[in-house]
Amino acid sequence: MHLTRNDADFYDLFGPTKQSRRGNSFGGGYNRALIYDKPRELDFNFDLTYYTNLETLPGFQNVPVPGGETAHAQERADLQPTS
Amino acid sequence: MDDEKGVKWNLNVEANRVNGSVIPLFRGGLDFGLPVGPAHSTVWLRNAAGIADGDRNDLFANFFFGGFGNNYVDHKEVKRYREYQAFPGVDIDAIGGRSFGKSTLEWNLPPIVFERAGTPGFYLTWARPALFVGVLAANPGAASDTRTVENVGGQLDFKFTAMHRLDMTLSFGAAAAFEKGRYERDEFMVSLKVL
Repeated sequence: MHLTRNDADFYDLFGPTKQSRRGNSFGGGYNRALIYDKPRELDFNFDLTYYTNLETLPGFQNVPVPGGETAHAQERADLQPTS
Repeated sequence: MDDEKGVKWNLNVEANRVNGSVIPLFRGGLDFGLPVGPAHSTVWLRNAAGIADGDRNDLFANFFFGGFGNNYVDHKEVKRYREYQAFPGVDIDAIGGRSFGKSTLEWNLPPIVFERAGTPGFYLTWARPALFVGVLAANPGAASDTRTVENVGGQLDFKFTAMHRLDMTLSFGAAAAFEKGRYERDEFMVSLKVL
């Protein structure tokens, strides 16, 4: 779970990539390793986050938000290298 | 160390709900790697594609690309150009599209191992060069908004140890981007990964 307001990141001081986002966010996530038998891996990740008053898109630092309120759900599955 | 062969894939489903409307975005990646030539020389073909359902002019229904992605001082993965949204040679988020296809052919050359570089408290361990060429198509198939950009570049990572046990990596990168066969711009990257 996470709750942030104008979330900041120390390494943004050394730009150009910015992790910080002006605005508010509230959300949570669920991560599970479906397969963990190296080198075979399969992970499942699920995130649901509600944003308000953002200046830029959550994943794209140079793209301004035209409105200002977003709910954002994300699912992802990864299988790492198999030899 | 890097993986030297294998298959790596990912699927990503994302939904942006903005002002009551839901905009789904689908994205996937498929990478193939195999050893080529001398020991620890590997070639990887890294592919990614995605599509969103929504108005092409809606920023929430777009993917954006650009840049190496490393900061001058960083703590994340060294070879960030492998991530789907990276595209060295152009500015961060400079290229956008409601759909995209991207391929990068990467050659990781054998590392140069240093046996006597430095002092016991500060020494170089290895240097590893990598070269890559890539192509990114934004809005492929669209009549007017299609952009196809190519890049070519490289990255050289120096792994060293400070104060006997602190591993760090100093990276240098350079890339040039081309569009419609013409040189567009270039990018240089210096990054120190700490801790």
